[in-house]
Order: sequence, then structure tokens, then C-alpha cells
Amino acid sequence: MRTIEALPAQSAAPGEVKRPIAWARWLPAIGAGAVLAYLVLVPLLLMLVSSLRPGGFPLDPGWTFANYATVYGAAGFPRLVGTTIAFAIGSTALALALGIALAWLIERTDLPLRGTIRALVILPMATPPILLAIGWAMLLSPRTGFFNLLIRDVFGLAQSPFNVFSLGGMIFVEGLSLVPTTFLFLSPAFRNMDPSLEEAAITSGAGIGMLLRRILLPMLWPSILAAGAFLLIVCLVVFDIPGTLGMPARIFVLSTQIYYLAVDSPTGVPLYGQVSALAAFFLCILFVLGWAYHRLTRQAQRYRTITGKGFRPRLMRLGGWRWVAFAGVSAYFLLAVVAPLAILFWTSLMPYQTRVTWAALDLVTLDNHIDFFANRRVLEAAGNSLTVALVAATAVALISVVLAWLVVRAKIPGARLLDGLAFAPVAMPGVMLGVALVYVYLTLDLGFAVYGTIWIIAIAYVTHYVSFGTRLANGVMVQLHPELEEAGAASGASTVRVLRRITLPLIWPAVVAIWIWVVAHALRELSTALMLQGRGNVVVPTLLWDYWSGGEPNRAAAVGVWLVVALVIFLSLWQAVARSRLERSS
Amino acid sequence: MTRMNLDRRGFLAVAAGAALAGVAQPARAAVTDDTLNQLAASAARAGSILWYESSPRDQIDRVIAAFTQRFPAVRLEHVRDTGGNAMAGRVIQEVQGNTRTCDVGTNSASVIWQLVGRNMVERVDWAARGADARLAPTPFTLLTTASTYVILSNSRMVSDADAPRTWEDLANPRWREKFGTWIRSEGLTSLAAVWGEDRVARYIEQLNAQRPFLFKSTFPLAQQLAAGEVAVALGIYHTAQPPIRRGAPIRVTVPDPAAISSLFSFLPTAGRNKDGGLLLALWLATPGGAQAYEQATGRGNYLIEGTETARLLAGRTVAEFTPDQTERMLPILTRFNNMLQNGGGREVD
Amino acid sequence: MLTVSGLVKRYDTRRADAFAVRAVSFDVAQGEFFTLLGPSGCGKTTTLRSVAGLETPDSGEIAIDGVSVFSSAKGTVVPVAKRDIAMVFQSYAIWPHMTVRENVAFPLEAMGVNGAEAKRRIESALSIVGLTAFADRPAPMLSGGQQQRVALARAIVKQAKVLLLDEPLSNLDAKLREQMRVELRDLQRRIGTTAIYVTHDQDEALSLSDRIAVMKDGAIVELDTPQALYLRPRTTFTARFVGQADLLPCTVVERGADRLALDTPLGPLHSTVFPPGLDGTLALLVRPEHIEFRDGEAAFGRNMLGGVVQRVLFSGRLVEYVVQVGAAALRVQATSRSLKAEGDRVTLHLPPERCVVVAGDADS
Ligand SMILES: Nc1ncnc2c1ncn2[C@@H]1O[C@H](COP(=O)(O)OP(=O)(O)O)[C@@H](O)[C@H]1O
Ligand SMILES: [Mg+2]
Repeated sequence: MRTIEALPAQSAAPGEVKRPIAWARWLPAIGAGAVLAYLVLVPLLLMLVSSLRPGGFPLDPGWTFANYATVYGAAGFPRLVGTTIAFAIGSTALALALGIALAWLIERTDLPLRGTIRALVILPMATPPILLAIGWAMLLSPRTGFFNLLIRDVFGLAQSPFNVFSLGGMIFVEGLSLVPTTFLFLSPAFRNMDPSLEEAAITSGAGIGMLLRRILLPMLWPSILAAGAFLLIVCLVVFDIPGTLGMPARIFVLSTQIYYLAVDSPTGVPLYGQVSALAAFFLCILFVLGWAYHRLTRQAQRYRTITGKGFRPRLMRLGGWRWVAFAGVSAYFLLAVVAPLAILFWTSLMPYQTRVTWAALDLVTLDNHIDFFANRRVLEAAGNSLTVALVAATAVALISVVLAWLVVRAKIPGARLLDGLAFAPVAMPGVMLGVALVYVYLTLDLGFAVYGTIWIIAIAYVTHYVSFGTRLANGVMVQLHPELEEAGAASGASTVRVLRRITLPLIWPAVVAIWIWVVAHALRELSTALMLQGRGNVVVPTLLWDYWSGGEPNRAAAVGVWLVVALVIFLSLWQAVARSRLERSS
Repeated sequence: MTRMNLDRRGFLAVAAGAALAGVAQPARAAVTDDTLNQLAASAARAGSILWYESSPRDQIDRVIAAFTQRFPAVRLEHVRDTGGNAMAGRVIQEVQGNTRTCDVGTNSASVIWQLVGRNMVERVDWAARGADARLAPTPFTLLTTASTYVILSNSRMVSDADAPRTWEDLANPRWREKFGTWIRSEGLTSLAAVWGEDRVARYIEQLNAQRPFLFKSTFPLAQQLAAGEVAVALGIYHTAQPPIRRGAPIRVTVPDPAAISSLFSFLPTAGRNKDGGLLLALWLATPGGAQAYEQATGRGNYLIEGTETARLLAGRTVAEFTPDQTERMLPILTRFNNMLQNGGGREVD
Repeated sequence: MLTVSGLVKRYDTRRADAFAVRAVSFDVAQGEFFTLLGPSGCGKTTTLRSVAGLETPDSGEIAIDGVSVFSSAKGTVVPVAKRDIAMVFQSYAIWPHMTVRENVAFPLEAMGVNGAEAKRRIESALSIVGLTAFADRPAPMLSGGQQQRVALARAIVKQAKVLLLDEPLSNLDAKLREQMRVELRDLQRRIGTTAIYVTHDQDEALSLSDRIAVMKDGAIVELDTPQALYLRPRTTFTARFVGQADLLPCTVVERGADRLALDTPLGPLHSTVFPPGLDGTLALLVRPEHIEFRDGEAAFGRNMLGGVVQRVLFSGRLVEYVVQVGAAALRVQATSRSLKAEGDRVTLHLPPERCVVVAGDADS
């Protein structure tokens, strides 16, 4: 805490007002900038360099634009972009529509069993997407899909009604898989909203549709936009679902192209130069989205829904709609949560891939689960996974809150640049982040090893997930009326104390959401962990991958089941802690 | 990037220049125990051996157990390569970053050739160590194992009489929309070493007319075959083994010619334990090492007597380009990949 | 106690004329209730927040109790938390995650005051605002007036030298507002603190303040006691903003030592209240309640006018008339003791000591 910052008054020309105050304002920016530069800028620059290297590796000699020419000049490129954008927009729209509806019903209305639904809705998040994709393939494939066969038999259709190996199928599965993320994104924003805003609308005679369209969506615009921008980029970069569901039908998107270039190109070496050149396209889209976000949410005061008055947490009564809504949510729940998790469980009980039939019940075995627990690396992997997940989640939550505060509230100089930097990593393909981190920790001598340890994985996760964390934290920070914090300062509290005692508790739902999200993703994330694996940093997803790539998806599914169990335990612990806190305080 | 600056002086004399297209027959010359024991002694002094290889950890654990039993003084460590081109990327980065890289790696010729092009692979006189010339087609590579392309069918959906057994059978229109294969054309490219590029290209067009399901790996291909999503498939022998071991209804036939994709061991110049790397590579090419490796991973060295793979391929013509033909092979592979991905397959519904 | 001089603040530095505050200066004495009054957007909040330290002005000096807390010349900026101030916000800024007591306890916690001393001060603050019974309620579960009191208690518990209040009553309903106004004034007297009060409501300003600074477009146009501002404003802006006003264009016909003869649309009038300089456009201010009916008298003599009642607006205690005098119309306020009807001919008296000449255009 500073007291009086008196700087020696140098002989200034009369009439000239000196502004020694200015440089102090840059300090937080410089501090935050240093952290972000270290986490984000270095990998970004290495990626840029890589795109300009003939050999594709940042430390290769020579410079060239050939990678850009090759990638963007390819004959199929426009079509690829078209398919990719259709896929990304479709999936984002689906995820947003469902996420918004769920967040509103769960956070703002008297929907039955809200608490349970809130906890369970995010469970599929702990399932690695490859497992989710094969789960959906088992549910909706035209020949053997469970739902397809069921509907075909019940209605006596000649053909299967759905084909998951299609653009529509990819959008459907990707959209559903992103609903938990969307929900976590939006639920703090919904929870924080002053109910009188809704009540005012209803007393003005607005129906539910009008309430959503005219009041809720515009009020929560910053959060929804932030979620939309984030999801869109995720859909551009994500590989597992379009890879698993699109490839069989020859539907290629940019991320499949990146996978091909990085992993599978016939040349025998990853074409990192071309991957980086392609990633530049994602980054451009990201910056356009970021810019649009800033333009569209410039009048931040319009979105302040957490004010210092009249804030009474009240739930809207749905009346007769209550059970309609409950039926809708249950249908979603069965379809998007229960069905894929049930398939995952089913798969984990089968010796090999089988369709869901009564006859197959004879095959049920616990071997896959026993095998997982008998794996001599399971303890080490679980320990490592937990450490990485907890460290990364805590670091991301912390960094995101501080950054959001600096960007939204303190409005330090260069805030928008910082925000852009924090958003950027989501557009970096995981392999390129991996490549960059490998260089950083091979060349940087910290006095202790990072390369090949769990810490390089943790750093990769923090870098990658800070983009989610800051999007979410920004959206909620905008909702916070600044006078709440100013009142703290005017009460004589230091900035740190205000952050700790006022800002943090008020945005706590967002902090929890970030934390849970990162834990779930760090538990399940595969490709980065694989890229950065060494001799001593095995994590649970690498075990899962061992099974998966060894042709044992059923064993992989067993690991997936236990990842979901781990998330359930996390959530229950959290709920318990939250409840006891609540009881103590009331 | 695709231009390779190969140092060829050393192996042109060894490599025949023609496709490897002999009838499978075990290798004659053998690595002696003496050679191995000497190497083991100096390898032990140099610390552990670091091996990059792509099999799942629990499989390699068994290989390491066999190795340790044979050479108790030498410690062997394995880091799993995640497949594809990852190993080349990793070794290049580690060499550029001046950190320890593997002492021995096992991978396909095209990956090794990238490293050779960057002068990152040790030149070895394999013959002097007692390895048969056919195992060591170039001074940079020693054959360790091979993936064998096989015709798979679901034995519940396809009767024995109907089951496809030859390459031609797969092109039979009865399998239209019931046929699946890998999205990559490695096997078909190997086939071109015997059939010639044009004949295989025509064959791929026939396959495309089947509107095949394309899988990004042959593991899920086998799984989906077991599940009945496709009835017949062109797959890889060892990747079909996990479901078969669990009793999945999968029938396997090796067609003639037998297309294979070989994996070779190589020694990076930056390796710390040179003798250790050499020891492992040579041991894997002895009957003891080859069998241990095959039993653990399901894929083996068809040139080593007593392996399952040697039995599987016995009497068949083996089709594959040799490592030094990588440059000739690459355009064919790219062309075939494009044909598979873009040609006539299932359309977007 | 508080000295503000040469305060300048621009939010938008790209536009040369976009001043939120331009050269604002004032002194506030110990124990004084000082009000910044002006229409919305005139820079009151900016000035107040600069005093609090929530905004950093572009230039100027601010000293609290002789200690400089901001000086652009010396480069001094004392952070908010270190200034001896307490503040009540327009939105109350009650922390919704805390109880009433926790809200009030927070400043003490921040200052490191705890134990019995803290307890005593909290109880005392709560009892001053009458919230002792609600101490353990979650803060959001209160009515508007109660929340307002929490904000007040939180400010006074700090016992700061200067209490800053930004439109604290504007969110309350009319009745409560009047009640709170009285309480606020009493409270300030009782604890003897210096208060800076921001409002756009002239009634509030007049009834609460010792002195009022009237602001317009980022500058103080007049600074005086409520009485002086009301009875002897110097500008049409103040005249109109403080109280009801009928303004008539006028020109000086003759100038005496203590009185002016004016020419107005109502005819010739005399005034004994006028500014020292008489340049530029002038206007005559007559407040409706200062105009007297002179029943039965003829409309002769000084400042006597004859007219016809045009409209009657009866509101109980007071009656408002619009009286047509020649071409002009005058608003007149009287008690309900004697009532006039529309169309009545009346005689009006405009007392010269209540005919105020102010600078500025009557119609602007
Ligand atoms: N944070 C801000 N950014 C830009 N302009 C502002 C900001 N706060 C206030 N202003 C502008 O400064 C002027 C003075 O505002 P303010 O001090 O809030 O007025 P008041 O409190 O008298 O209504 C207004 O024109 C307002 O639009
Ligand atoms: Mg204001």
C-alpha cells in the first residue's frame, strides 16, 4: 500500500503541468503484461516464426512465405473454410441456445430439482471428446445406432432417421458437447442478475419469449457474446468430434487438416510451418471477434446488473410452465447427459465394441475397470492428474480474476491489448502450443527441469485455459457496479483488501465456474499431455490414450467413466463446502 | 520441407534400388551373443537407454522385462511416441534445444528419412555387427517390425464362403457401403511396389466405388467392424488383435501380395548412450528380442525365424518400398491419400 | 477543512472541449454542510469523486485538513484508502454478500480497528441511523430507505474528517426523501463532521446546506448561502435552477445609488437588488411567492400592476395563479386564505427588494 507518492519536483517550466502520476498507472499493466507475455506472447511469436520457416521448426534456418502460399493457395481451401465455418456457427448456435435456456431455467426459475440438475448438467465435460464422439456414433450411426434402430423399429421406418456421420451430425454432437461450457459461462451471469429487472418486464406484460428476447439477452449481452466468441473459436480448432464423425463421410474441416499436417502428413515430419500458417487464420478470426466484442459492449454501464441496492435473490415462478420446463430439461438431460454417459458406461463393460442389445449383456465384464486399477501407473497418473488439475485450475482462476479486474475495472493502459492476449491461446492449435513450450523449456534454464515433468503440462493448460477464464470473468466483472468496489476504497480498504473482501465474493460464482471447468478439462485433456509427455509425467488421459491407441476403446471408456466419477466427487465436495459455508453464515 | 537433402553415398550400394518384392524368407546372418554382451557392458556404463517407440506403455513394459532379463545390468526406459510424425518433431526439437534425445528410436522409413536429411541419424555398419543385409537395407535403418495389411470381415455378418480373401474380392460391389478402411493409403502404396502405381490407382477407384467408411486409425476400424458398422475392411493385422483377443467376431485373411509397412530402429547422432541404442536395435533383431517384441505388441519382424509374422507371411510376396525409395514413394502416397479422401466416397447426407 | 483549487478533469482527452470539470475551486470550513448543486452532467459527481480520490484530475490541488491529497504540480496522489474521507454512493453500494453489520464493520476492519472499540462504534453508528434491530439481516433484504441508512452508517462509522454524499436521497420516494433530509441534517450537526453533498434537487440543497455551489458545464457559476442564492442570485441560470422563477427581459433606464429604474414588458419597475456590474443582457427575476395581491388598491404607484387572472391551480396549502399583465403573464403564488377566480381583475405588488436584476438572457 502506498501512502503519499511525492516525487521530487524538478524545476519544471512555469505553467507546464508535470504528470509524474502517469507512469505509476502503467505498473499493473506492465506486471500483467509480463505474465501474459511469458505465458502467451512467447508461444504466439514462436508460432509466427514457425509459419515463416521453410522447415517449419522455429529454430530452423531461413525465411519464407511458402507455407502461407501452400495452405491458402490449396485448391480445396475455400470449401474447407466454408465447411468449417458452417460447422462452427452451427455448433455454437446450438450450444448457445441450449446453454442459455438451461442457465435461465436453472438459475432464475423455480424449476424442480434445480440443484441436482445444475450439478449433473456439466458431467459430460469430464469425458474426453473422443469417447463422447464414439458414444454418439454408437447412438446415432445409421447402421447400428441405438436411437436409430429404436426409432426405426418403433415407427416401422424403412431407413434410419439420423446419420451422425454428416455435417448435421457433427454440429449436433459438437453443440451438445459444448453445452456444459456454455452453461458454466452463463450461469454466473444469470445468477447475478437483479431479479427486479425480470419482474419489471413481467409486470409490463411481457411473456417468457419477450422476456428472454428483450430483457435477459440484451442485459446479459456481454456474457453471451463472450461465450459465443469463445465457443466459435473452440469449434474452429477442435478436432476429436469432426475427426471421428466427419472423416468417415469425408467431411473435412480446418482442424482435420491441421491434424493431417501435424500428425499424419506423408512426409514423415510434422508440417508445423503450414499448421502455423493455418492457425494465423484462426487468430485473425479471433481478433475480429475480440474487436467486435469490444465494440458491441462498449457501454459497459448498461450491463451492470449487480448493483448495491434492491438486490434480492428471488426466483421467478413458472406457474403452469414449471412442469413443461421440467419435461424439456429432462428430455435434454436424457439425451445429452444420460445417453452418452450410459453408452460410455456400457462400452466400459464390454470386451469389445458392441451395439446395445439384450444379447450383448452376456458379454458384460468388469475386466476393463479391473485392468485400469491394476495398471501399475494408475496411482502415479491419478496423483499427477490431480496435481495438474488443481494447480492449473487455481492458477487460471486467479489470473483470470486479476486480469478481468485490470481490464474491465482498473482500465489500465493497454487493457485491450492484454485482453486480446489472454483470449488468443484458444486459437492456437494444441500442437503448436506444445511445440512452443518445448522450445521455451529446452532453452530456458530455470535451475530445475520443467520439460518432461508435469509442470510443463500444467503451464500448457494454464496458457490454454486462461482464455476461457478471462472471458467468463470479464463478463461477470462487467456486471458488477463499480461503486461497490469504490465504496470499499472509500471505507479505507486497500486495493488488495477490496479485491479479496468485495470483488472476489461478489464474482465468486464465476470463480467457481472457472475452477470447475478447468479441473474437468485438465482431467480429460489428451493431446497436450501427449505432446509434452516425458518419462515422469504420466497423467490419467495418457493412460486412457494408451488403451485407446492400443485398440482398446473399451478400456479407454473405463478410464473415461472414472474421470466422470472424479468430477462427480469434485462437484459433491464443492457442494458440501458451499452448503456448510451457507449454513454457518445464516 | 518436402525436399530432402539426403546423404545417399552410404547406402546406394546396399539398397537394390528396386522394390522389396521377394517371397518372405527368414534372414540368414545373425547377431552373436558376444556382440550383444560387449555392447551391454559398455551400455551399462553409459547409463540408461532411452527408447522412443509408439506401442502402449503396458505392452512395452513386457518388452523391457524381457530385455532386462537378458541384460540385467542395463536399464531401458521407454517414452511413448504418439504416432504419425510426432517422433520426428520431438527429436528435431530436442536436438535443436540441446537436450537429451532418445538413444534409439523405432519408426517408419519416411520419419527416419526426415531425420537423415537433417543429419541427425547415426550411420552404422550393420553387417559388421552381424545383421543380415535384408534387415538393414540402409546404414541408417535396422528392421524391427512391420504392420501387415489384412482383409477383415465380421464373421457374424459374412459367412465363410462369402468372406473376401483377395484384393479383388474387396472390390466386389456386394460390399458397397459395407466396406471400411484407413483414411491413409500406406498399405495400398506398399502394394504399388509390386503392382505398379497405375494398377493400384485403378484399384483404388474400384474401392472408392464401394463408398467406403474412412477411419482415422485402423484400431477403431477393427472395433467398428466388430460392432457391425462395416462388414468387411482393409485393416492391419495387429490392430485387429485386441478385439479378437476378447472374442470379437473378426475374421482375418492375409492377401497375396502381402502389403506391409516396416518400422526400423535408428540411432540419433545426439543420443547419449550410443552402444545402448545399438544394443537394443540389434537385440530386437535377434529371435529372442523379436519374439518378445511381437508377443507384447502383436506385430513382428517377418525376417526373423520363429515370429508369428514370419509364419503369417510365409510363401507370400511381400510388397513394400525400401527406405531409400522414400522420395519415389512419397508422391504416390500423397496421390493415393488424395484419391481416398476426395474420390467418390460417402457423401454428406 | 477542505480546499479545492483549479480542478480540471477531462475524460475524453481527444476532444479539446470535452471538459467534465473545468477550473473548479472552493473552500469548505470545518463542520460546514457544503452542497454542489447543478443539473445532471454538470460535473458534480466528478468533482466529488476527485475529492474522494476515485478519479485522478488532470490538474488542480486538493487538500483535506491542510494535508495535500492531490497536487498536479507536485505530482502527489494520495490513494482513496488513505484519505480521511467517507462516502455515500448514489447506488448505496451495499455489498450484497454481507449482512448489515458486516457492511458497517468493513471500514473499521480496513482501518484495523477491532475488539470492543469496533463494537462500540458499529452499535453507535447503527443506532444513529436506527438500524440496530436489523443488524444481522443480509443487506439486500432491506427496503430502499433502510439500505440508504446502511450506506450512511457505513460512512459515519469511519468518523472521517469529510463526509462525501453523492445524491444519497435521489433513489427514495418523496416522503421518505423529506424525512431523510431532516435526519441527515440533524446527523451532520450531531457528529459535527464536514459534509460535501451532491444533488440536482434544489429543495434538498436549500434545506440542508450551509453553502451551495451552483455548477454548470463543469464550472461553478455561483457559490453562496442558500438564502443569498435564492433571494439574490446573480445569473439567470441560478435564478431558474434554484426555486421557481419568472424572468423578464429588462433594460436599465435610470441608475441610483441603491435602486434601479427598469423598463420591462410589464412596464417600468424599480429594483433594489442588482449586481455590481451592469454590462450585457439583463433580466428581472420575480419569484411567484413574492408577488402580493393588493386587493382594493388601484394599480398605481411604484411596482403596482393591474391584471386579469387567467388560470387558477389549487393545491391545498398554496394556490398558483397565472395573471395576464398587458402582453406578459406572471405566475403568482398565494395562500389559500383568500381565493381568486378566473377572470378576476387584480392588482399586484412587486416589492422592489424582491425584484432581482440578474445577468443573462431571460429567454434562454
Ligand atoms: N467515466 C466517464 N467517462 C467519460 N465521460 C464521463 C465519465 N463520467 C462522467 N463523464 C462525463 O463528464 C461529465 C460530468 O459528469 P458527472 O460528474 O457525472 O456529472 P453529474 O454528477 O453532475 O451529473 C458528463 O458530461 C459525463 O457524461
Ligand atoms: Mg452524478
